[in-house]
Amino acid sequence: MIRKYITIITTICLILGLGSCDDKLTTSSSVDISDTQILSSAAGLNMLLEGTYNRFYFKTNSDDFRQVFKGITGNYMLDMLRGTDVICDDNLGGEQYEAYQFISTYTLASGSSSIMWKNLYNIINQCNIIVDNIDKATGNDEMKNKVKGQALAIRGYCYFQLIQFYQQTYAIAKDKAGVCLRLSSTDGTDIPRSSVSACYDQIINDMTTAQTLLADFNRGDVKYYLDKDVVSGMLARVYLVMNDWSKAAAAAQEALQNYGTLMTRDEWRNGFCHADYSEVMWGFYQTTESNMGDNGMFSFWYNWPESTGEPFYNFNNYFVNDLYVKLFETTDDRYQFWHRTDAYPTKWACSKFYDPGNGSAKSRGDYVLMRGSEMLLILAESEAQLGNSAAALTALNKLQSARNVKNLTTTTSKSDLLEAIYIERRKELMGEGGGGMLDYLRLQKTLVRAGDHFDAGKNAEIFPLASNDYRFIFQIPQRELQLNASISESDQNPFSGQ
Amino acid sequence: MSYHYSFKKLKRRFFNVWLVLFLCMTTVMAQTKINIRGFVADQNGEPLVGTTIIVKGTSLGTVTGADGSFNLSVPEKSVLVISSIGFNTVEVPATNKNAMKITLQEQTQTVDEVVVVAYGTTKKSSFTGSMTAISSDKIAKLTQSNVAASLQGMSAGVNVLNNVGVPGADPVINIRGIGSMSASTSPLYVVDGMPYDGQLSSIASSDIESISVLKDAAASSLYGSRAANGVVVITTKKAKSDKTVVNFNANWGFSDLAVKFPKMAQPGEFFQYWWEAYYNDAVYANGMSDADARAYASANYMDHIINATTDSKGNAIYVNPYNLSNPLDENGKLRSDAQLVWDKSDWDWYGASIKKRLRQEYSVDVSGMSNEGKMNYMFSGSYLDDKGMAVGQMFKRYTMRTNITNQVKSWMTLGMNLAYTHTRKTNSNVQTRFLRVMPSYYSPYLRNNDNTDWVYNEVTGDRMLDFGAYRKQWGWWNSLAWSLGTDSDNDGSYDFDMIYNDLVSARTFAEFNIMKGLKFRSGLSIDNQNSKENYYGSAIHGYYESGDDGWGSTVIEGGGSASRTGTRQTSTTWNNILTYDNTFGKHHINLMGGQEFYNFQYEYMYGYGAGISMANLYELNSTTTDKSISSYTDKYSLLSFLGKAEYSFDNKYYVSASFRRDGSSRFSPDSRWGNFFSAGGSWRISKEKFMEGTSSWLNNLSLKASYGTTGNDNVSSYYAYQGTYSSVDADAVTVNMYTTPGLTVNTIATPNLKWEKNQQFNAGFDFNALNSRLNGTVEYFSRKAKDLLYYKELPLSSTTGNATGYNTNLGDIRNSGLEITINAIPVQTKQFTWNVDYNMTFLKNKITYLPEGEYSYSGSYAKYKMVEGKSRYEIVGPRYAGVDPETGKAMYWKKIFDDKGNVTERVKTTNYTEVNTDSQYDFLGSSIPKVYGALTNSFKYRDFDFSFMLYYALGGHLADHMYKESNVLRQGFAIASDFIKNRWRQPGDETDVPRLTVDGTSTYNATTMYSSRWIYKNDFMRLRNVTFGYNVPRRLTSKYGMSNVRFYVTGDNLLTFGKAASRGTDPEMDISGDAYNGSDKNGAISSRLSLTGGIQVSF
Repeated sequence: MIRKYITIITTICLILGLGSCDDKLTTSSSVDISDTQILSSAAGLNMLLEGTYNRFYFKTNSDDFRQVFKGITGNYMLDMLRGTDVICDDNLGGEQYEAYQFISTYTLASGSSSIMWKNLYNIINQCNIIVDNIDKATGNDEMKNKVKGQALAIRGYCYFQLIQFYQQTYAIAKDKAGVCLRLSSTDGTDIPRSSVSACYDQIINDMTTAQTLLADFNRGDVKYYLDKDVVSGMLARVYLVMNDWSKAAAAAQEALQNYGTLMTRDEWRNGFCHADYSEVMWGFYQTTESNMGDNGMFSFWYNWPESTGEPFYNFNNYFVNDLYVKLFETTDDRYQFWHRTDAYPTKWACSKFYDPGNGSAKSRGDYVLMRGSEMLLILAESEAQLGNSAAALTALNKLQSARNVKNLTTTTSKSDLLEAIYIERRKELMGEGGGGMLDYLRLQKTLVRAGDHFDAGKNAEIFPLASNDYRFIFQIPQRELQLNASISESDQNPFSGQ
Repeated sequence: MSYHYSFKKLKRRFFNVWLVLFLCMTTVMAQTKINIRGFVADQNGEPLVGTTIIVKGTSLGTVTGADGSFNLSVPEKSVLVISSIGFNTVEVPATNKNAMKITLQEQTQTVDEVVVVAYGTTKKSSFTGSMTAISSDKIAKLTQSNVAASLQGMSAGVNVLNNVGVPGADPVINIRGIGSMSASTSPLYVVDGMPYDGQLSSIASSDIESISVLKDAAASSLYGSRAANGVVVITTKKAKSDKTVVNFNANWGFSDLAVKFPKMAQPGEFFQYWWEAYYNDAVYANGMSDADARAYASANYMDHIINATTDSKGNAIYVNPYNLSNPLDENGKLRSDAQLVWDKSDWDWYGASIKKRLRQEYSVDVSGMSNEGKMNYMFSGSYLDDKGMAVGQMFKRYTMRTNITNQVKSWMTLGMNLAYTHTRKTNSNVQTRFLRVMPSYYSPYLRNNDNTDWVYNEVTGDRMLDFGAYRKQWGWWNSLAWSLGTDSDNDGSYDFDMIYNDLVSARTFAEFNIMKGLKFRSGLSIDNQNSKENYYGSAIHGYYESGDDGWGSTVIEGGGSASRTGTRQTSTTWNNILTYDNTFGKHHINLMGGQEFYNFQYEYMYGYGAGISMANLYELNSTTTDKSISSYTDKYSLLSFLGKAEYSFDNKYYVSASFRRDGSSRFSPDSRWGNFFSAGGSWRISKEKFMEGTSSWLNNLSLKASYGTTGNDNVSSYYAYQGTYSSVDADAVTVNMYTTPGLTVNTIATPNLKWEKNQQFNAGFDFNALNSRLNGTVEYFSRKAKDLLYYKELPLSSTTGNATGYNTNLGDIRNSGLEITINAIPVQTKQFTWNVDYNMTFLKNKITYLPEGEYSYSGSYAKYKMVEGKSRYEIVGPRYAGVDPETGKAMYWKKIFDDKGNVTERVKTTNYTEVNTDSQYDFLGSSIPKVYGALTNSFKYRDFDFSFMLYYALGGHLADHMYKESNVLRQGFAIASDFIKNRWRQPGDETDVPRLTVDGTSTYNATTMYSSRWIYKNDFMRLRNVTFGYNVPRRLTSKYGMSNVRFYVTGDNLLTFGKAASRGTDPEMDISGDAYNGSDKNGAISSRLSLTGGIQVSF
C-alpha cells in the first residue's frame, strides 16, 4: 500500500522536475540593461547619446592617468603642445611632456597611438548604434531627429579628429590612405583604410545631414549639446582644412549670426572658464560628478606665484614661449596673462586657463570648445584667400578692436594679410587650436622651435620639422594591424620622413 | 522578477511533496529481529581483531573485539558481509542457531574496494572509467589548511599547484591538462553527492573519508556541462561499526617560506653599485673624461635613491644606514670613516615580515550506530588556528558536522549531513616581490632627520613605521603596517583587512526501496555561504603622518577610511534518481535515471567611506567623505536529465553508457541545451581460460576503454551571450552627463554562444601481480576541447563602450598523455614493510585549431603567442645575445628578413626597440610541464612508520621576472650581489651580465629588458612530505581504554630542488609561467614549508 504511494510520489516528483524548471533558465544581470530594451526606443538611444557625450568630453578608455588623451579636449592639448607657442616642463613626465618633445609616444611599437584611436572609434561606434537604430525606434520625430543629428555630428567630428592625426593634411594627401570608415554597427570587424578624400566626403556628409536634422533643435543654454550652429562652426573648420575657402567663409558667417558678440575685456580677465559667455558656441562645464579630475588643462596650466598664497596644488607644467609673449602689444587685453612665478622665475606663466574658483574647483573650470572669435578668424582667412581683402580686414579688425589692439592690421597684400591673420589666430586661440600642430600641417609651415623652450638640446635633434614629416603623424596602432584583417603592415604610416 | 516568483512557487511545490514523504515515514512497522554472535579467525585460527561485520544492504554492523568475537542483532534472513583488511571478504547468512564461526582467507586477489563515483558508488573492478580514489589516511598525512592542496602528487593526471603561501589558500588544480582558454579550468567539486560551491578551505580534512578524482568521460560525463575539467568527489565520514568510536587529533606546527630569497646587496654595496652605474653612463654613454665621470657619479648616486632632507641644523642630508650623508669617496669606495649606524636588523624587511608562527589544529569525531544499526551517526568538531608565516596572516576555522542516516523503515532511509563552518582570515600585505625588491638602504622604521635615532610612537613607545619619508620608490608602502591588529583586536592605529565567512552546508535525502533492486532517491542540498570583509585604512598612520602634534596620536590628513563588503551565496541542488540494480545468474545490470535542478544566487554589497577623524572608529558610520556604495545580484541555474546503464557478465565483461542533457542559464534559449554521453567497457582478461597459465603470478589484468563528451559552461560572465548596456564605464564611473542619465555599451550580444565541448578518450589497463605486491594502472588519454569559450578582442576600431571584445567559441585544444600509476611492496615481512607508490603523467597540450589565426598577447610580464600546433601558454620574446664587450650593453639577436618574410640571417643589436616587435620574437618554451608526478616510499617497522613523497614537474618554462628584478639596478629597488658578480666593467670584458647603468629597465639602456635571458626551463622536484610516526602498542593503550595512539611528525615542502630555487624563485608558479609579482603573479607570497607534530588517539 505504502509502496504504491511512494511510486506515485516518485512519479509526481519527476514530472514536477521535468515540467517546471525550463522557464527558470533565463536569468539576467541585476545591474545592466538588455540591448533590445535600449535599441527599440528613442528615449533609450538618447541615454546612449548622453553616455556618448560623457565619453566625448571626459573619458579615455582606460582612465588611470591620460592627460593628452582625455576626452576631446585632450586632442586640443596634444595639438597645442606640438606647436611652438606653448612650452612644457618635464617636472611631471607623462604624456603631455612626451607630446611636447615628440618622444615616440605615437609610434607603433612602444607608443600610445592606440589611445586616441580607440577613444575616438569607441565614440564613433556608439554613434553608429544610434544612427542604425533610431529610425525604427519608438518615439516622435522631433526626438529622433535631435538624437540622430547629434550622433551624426559627433561621428563627423571624431572622424575629423582622426583624419588630422593619422594622415597628412588634405591639401597634400587627398589620395593617401586615411582612416577606417566605420559607418554601421553591423559592418563587421575588418574595414580597410579609406582615402583621405573619402574620409572628408564622409565628414561633410555627416555634418550637413546633422545640420538638416538639427534645424529645429533648441538646446537652450546647455552648450555641450551640438546644435546646428556648432555644426556650422565644425564645417567651417573642416572646409578650412580642405582649403575650400568659399564654403568655409559661408559656414563661419552662418555660425557668427548668433555668436558674433565678442567677449569684453572684463570677461577675458575673469579666467577662460566660462562657457556661458555670449560668443561661446560650444563648451561644457565640470561638476563634482562629471569632471576631468586633475587631467584637464586647468591643472597643467595652473602656476600662480606662491606669494599669492593660493592653496591649490599646482602642476607648474605649461608655460608660454618668450617669443610668443613678444607678439603682443603690452596694452593688448590678452597681454595680462603673462607673469613670472617664484618656482619658475625665468619662464612665462600664463593665466588664460585659470579658474578663479576655490580649492579643487580651480581645476574644474568650464571648457570652451568653439567661439565666435574663431569664426571671425576663419572668415578673415577665407576671404583673404579668395582675394577679398576688405572683407578679411573687416573681420580681423573687429576681433583686434575687441581685444584693444592699437595697431590694427591694414595691409592688403595677400601674403602679409594671411600672415597677420595667422598671428592673430595664435594670439587669440592659444590652446584652442591656434598655432598648434594642426595649423602647421594645414598651412604647410615648417615647425621651428626658438626662444626659451625647455630642453633645447633635445629640440635641436628634431627641429626644424617639415610639415609633411611623418613624425607629426600617428601610426596605426599595432592591435589594429593584428586584428583587422583588412589592414596590413604595408598600409602603415611611416614612422618618419616625408 | 518573474523568475524569482516562479522559483519560489517551485520550492513550495517541492516542499509539499516533501511533507507527504514525511507523513509516510511516521507509520513505522515492527520487524522481527534475531540476536547472533560469532567468532572470526584467519586460516590459522588466530582471532581477527577489528573485522567489520555489516548486514548486507544496510548500514547495520559491528566490529570484532580483541578475541575476534562479535554480537549483533539483525533482521531475520539477513546476509552478513564480513571484511577485514588483507583478507577476502565473505558473505554468510545470519543465523542464531549456534555461535557462527567464520574463517577469512588471506587475500591473494586484488582488493576490490568500493569507490565513490558520480551519483553513487561502484566496485573498482567493474568501473570502466578512469578515476583515482584517495583514502583518508593519505590525506591525514598532510597538514594543509585547505584539503584540495593535499591532492598534489596523489594522482596521475592531476596537476596541483600550491603556489600561494597564504593559510587556507585555494590551489590551482588542472586535471588532464588545460582544456580551456578563458573559461574556468577548475574541476567541479562534489561533496557527499551534491555539487559544492562553498570554499574548499571550509572543509576540515579530518572530516573526510575519501576523495575520488574522476578523470575521463566515462567517470564524469554524468555531470555533463560542468565536468569538462574533471570532477573531485569528496565524501565525509560516517560510522563503520555499531561500536562508538571516538577519534581525537591534535597537531602543532609552524611554516616558513619554502624557497629562500636571494641574498640582497647590503647598503654599502648598493651605494657603490649606483656610483658605478653613474660612472659607467658618464664614460660610456656620455663620453665624459674619467675625472669628470667620477665627480658626476659622486654628485648624483645618492640623490637618485634617497630623498634628501634637511637636518635639525639646516643642512641637507641623506638619511641612510651610515653615519655619513655621503659615505663614498671620490673613487666610489666606502670612506674609511664611514660607519654603519643602523643595525642589520633595522633594514631587514624579510626578518621583520616573515616569522615562524604557530599553527595548531584540533579535531574530534564520534561515530557509531544505534537502534540496532538502523541509525548511523557521526558528529565532529574541529578548530584550526594557522597564523601562517608572514606578519598579518591569520586563518582560523571552526567546524561542526553531523552526518546521520536513519533507516526508518525497511524500505525507507532518511539522511542528513549538516556542516557549519566559520572562518576568519586576514589579508596580509606581505608580498614576495616587495620583500625581494625593497633595498637595504630603506628601513621599515622611521629614522629621524639627523639620522641619530629612530622615531618613537608617543602613545605606545614602539618605533614608528616608515611610509616612505626618504624613499624614492615605494612611497605609502609598509607591509608591516597592515593587519597588525584585527577588527576585534586592534591597537587602534593600523590598517586591517578581515574576512569572515560562514558556511552552512546541508545535504539531505530520502531513499526508498520500491521493489527488489529498484530504489528511488530524492536529495536536496543547500550551501549557504555568507561572507563579510571589513577593511579599515588607518586614521593615524600613513604617508601623510607628520608627527607635528605628536607621533602616533594625530589624525592624518584626510583621516581614516573603511569599507564593508558583504556577499551571500546560496546554491541549491535538488535531484531525483531512480536506480535499478540486479543480478541474474552471471548477468549484472545497473540502470539509473533521474533529473536534477541546480540554482545559484550570489548577492554582493559594498560600502566605502573616508574621512574618519578619530582613532578607534572603524565603521562606515564614522566616515564623512568620498562615500560610495554598490550592490548587485547574480543568478545561474541548470536543469538536467541523466541516465546510465551498466552491464557486466561473469565479472569478466563490463560495459557502461551514460547520458546527460543540460540546460544552462548561461546560454541563450536557442543554444542552452547540450547533450553529453559516454560509453565504456572493460575486460578482465586475466579471468579468461587462455590466461590460466599466468594465474600463478598475475592476479588480475583488465583492459578498459571509454569515449564520451563533457562540457564547460564556466565562462567569465553569467550572462555572456546577452547584449547589455550599462550606466557605468569599465572603471565603474558613471557615464551620466551631469545629472542626465547616460548609458554605454557594456557587452555585445552573442546569441550563438554555446558550450565548450570536451571529447575524451581513455584506454588503459589495470594489473595486479605477485599477490598484490605489484599493481598499477597505465592509461592513455586524449581530451579534445572544441568550441572553446573565449573573449576575443576586437580590432581597436571596433571596440564600443566597455566592449573591447566579445564572447565566442573559438578554436580547439587537445590534451593528450600517458598516466602511469604503480604500487609495489618490495619488502613485506611481519616486522617490516616497504611500500612504493609511483605516479607519472606525460602531458601534451596543443592548440589544434585556431580559426582566426595566430594571436599574440601579453601577460603581466611574459608575452605569449597562440598558434596552431603549440600549447596554450607558449612564451615568446626576443633572444638575448650576451654583452657587447666594447660597450657593456646588452645585445639581442635581430632577424633579417627577405622579401618573402623568411629569416635570412640573425645579427646582434644593442637597440632593443628593433627586436621588440612581434616578428622578431622567437618561441621560448611552453609554461606547461611535460611530465609530472610523485614518488612515495613508506616504511613500517614494528610500531614505527616513515614515509616521504617526492613531487616533480619537468619541461615547463618560467618567465622569471622576480629574478630579473634581482639583477637590475633600478631606483629604489634591490639587487642581489651574487647575480651581478661577473658584470661588465671595462671594454674588453667578456661576460653575459651587462654593465651597471642607471635605471637599466629603460629602453635607452636596455640592459635587462624582457628577453630569453629571463625565460628558464622550470624543472623541479620537491620533498613534498615526510612523515615519521609511532603507534603505541595496543597492549599498552588498551589498559586506558584506547584502541589506538599515534604520535607523528610531518614536514611539507622541506626541500626544493631545481634551478628556480637557486634564483630565489619558487618553482610552483602560476600555470602561465609568469613570475611577475609573487607566485600567482598578483602579489601573493610564495608557497611555504611547514613542520608539524601531532597525536592521534582513538577510543
